[in-house]
Amino acid sequence: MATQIVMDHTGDTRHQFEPADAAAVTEAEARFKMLIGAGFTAAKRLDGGKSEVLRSFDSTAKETLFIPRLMGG
Amino acid sequence: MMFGFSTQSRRPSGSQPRRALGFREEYRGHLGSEEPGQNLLLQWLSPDQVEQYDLCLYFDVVGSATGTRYRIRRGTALNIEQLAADGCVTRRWCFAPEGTFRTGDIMLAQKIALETFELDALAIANHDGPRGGFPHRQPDGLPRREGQAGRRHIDESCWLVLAFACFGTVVWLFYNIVF
Repeated sequence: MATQIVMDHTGDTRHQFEPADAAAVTEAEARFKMLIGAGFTAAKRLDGGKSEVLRSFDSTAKETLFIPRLMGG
Repeated sequence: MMFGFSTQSRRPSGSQPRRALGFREEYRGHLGSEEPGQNLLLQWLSPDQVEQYDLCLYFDVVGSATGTRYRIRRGTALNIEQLAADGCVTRRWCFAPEGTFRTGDIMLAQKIALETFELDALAIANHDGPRGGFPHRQPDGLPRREGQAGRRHIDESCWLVLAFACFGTVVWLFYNIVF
């Protein structure tokens, strides 16, 4: 089961999908594109506390975090 | 813009006015519990970072482009410290996701940004300048020595003036007694 975590005002919203389910993957990819288009940054969690920014949808990513656009504080 | 709603801290905050604390609690109540944000943050930290965060309420990250070490303190405003090789703070940075988020979410966004797209993040971040007016800290989290030195300097000046006054009084008394 793969998870897309979207940071939002309520904390985070999680969308889970089965990578073997083509329809679910298509839906997840559409969500990915929509969020990236809205200014979110997608990061894939790697082992050992590392992460990698995703420029395109990765159906193999077990956990993808979507971070809203950053701004100076 | 400052992310002024500073975060929960385990440090004593006796000097803070009750009204401010009340407002903070009210605001935090509006946001809801910090726990989900902290749990998410802990899942994304490395084991070393988890240990450090558990002990000190901060964790260190290494910038992806420059290799610079940053310390992300639990907080939401100017909570990123750029560290020199000796561990002293050289600058404080501030950036966060647009909007209102839980402390853990903000810290996680800061960690990922510095570890994966450091220069882009710093390009939009604000900082206090290399010699900003914010109290610098030593690696152990205590106020830096220069602040203490400044205070000591004032104290020493007072003692010096007092010593001169005493010396003058003694000389004057001696002069009056002898002559």
